[in-house]
Amino acid sequence: MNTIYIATNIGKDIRTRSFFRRDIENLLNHNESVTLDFSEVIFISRSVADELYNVLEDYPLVQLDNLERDVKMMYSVVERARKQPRHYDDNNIEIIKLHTLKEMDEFFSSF
Amino acid sequence: MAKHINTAVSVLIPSANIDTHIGSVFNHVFKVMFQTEQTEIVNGRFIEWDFKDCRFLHPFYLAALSVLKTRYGETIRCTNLQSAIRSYFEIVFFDTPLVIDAINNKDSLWDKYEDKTYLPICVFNPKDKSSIRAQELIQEAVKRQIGHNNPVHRILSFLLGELIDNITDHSHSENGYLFCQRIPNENMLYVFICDTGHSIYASYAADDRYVKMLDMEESSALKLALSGKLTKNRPENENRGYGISKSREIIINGLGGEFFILSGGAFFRHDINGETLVDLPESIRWDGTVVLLKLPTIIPKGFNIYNHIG
Repeated sequence: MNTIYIATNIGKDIRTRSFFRRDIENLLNHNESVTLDFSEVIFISRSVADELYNVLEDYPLVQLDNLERDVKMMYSVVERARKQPRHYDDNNIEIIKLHTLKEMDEFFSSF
Repeated sequence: MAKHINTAVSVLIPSANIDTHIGSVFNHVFKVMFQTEQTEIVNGRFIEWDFKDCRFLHPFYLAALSVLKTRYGETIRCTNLQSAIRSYFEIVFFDTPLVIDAINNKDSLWDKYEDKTYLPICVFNPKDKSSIRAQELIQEAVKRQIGHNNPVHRILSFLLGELIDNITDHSHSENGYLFCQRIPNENMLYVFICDTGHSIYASYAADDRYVKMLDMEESSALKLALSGKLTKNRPENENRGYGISKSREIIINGLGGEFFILSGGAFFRHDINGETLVDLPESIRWDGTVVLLKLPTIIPKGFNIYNHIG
């Protein structure tokens, strides 16, 4: 089984979902068993963790190894959320409509 | 709205050194925008932004004016700058924001900010990895300013990651902007994140699943974004759309900070006074999205970011 070192090939601080997906797609092959080694990766954003979950769904032969503490926590949070129905917050906020610059001025003076 | 032709070439920049409620300074920003955009340039003359009344500019005001100035281009000239303001403008890169390169950027440039409360106004290309480099540089500088043991920079890491990811994935903007200033006597870090691309309303309007949830007002798109609905039409995207809603959750419920988002012709504010959602007059709109954060630099006891992002 091949090992891909994420810190070397992508970075130690991974923040952007689309860049991560692009980079990982360039490294993976659908028919290959691969370990993604996250040693020395210090941070992944929530959206990157979510995309990592997608990668594991799309590439069943890929597995993870050596997730550092914060990376492991972020991935665990996303993994748990993905296994539950998505909850959307309700927003029943009253909308204020300002029609003129004067109304805007008065609004900002008061609130 | 019919365009009123104003032959004057000078726009007085109002003084604004406080932001009573987060985003209040945009009252002044909107007026500057309105006056600038209504001003006809005669015979190639410039529009003068007259700073004679300004002795200090609130960080959010300063950053917004800098982005506007960049957007308006060479037509804007700043006049009557007092010497302290002029020096401040130079060190924060007001006239031309600091361009972040995906790979290079002299680290030594950042050394001079170590004992300051502010950082340069940065511009990055959301389509390349300069967006990541900007975050790394800002975070490292904040860490040096507030102390390595203060966990704020780790929280900032999460927030910047999510909010700048939104710019990269949804805004279609050529530029993203980032600015931070610490206010020591308030124990607050002010963060300004902005793009000049598609508004959130435009992103939802381009998605068949959400277009029916929108009404004519742009506030309807902010409501969707705040509920966690995503703005990109991809099959797996039921798991997207967390950025704005979770960032607000962390800032308000986790840290006791303040949150403001302006997109197109509407804005949302959440502070200790509660939530406010506003549609602006038709003549006022920001092409793109601005997010303002006030982050306490003293983290509440027991705060755990992972309790807020599930």
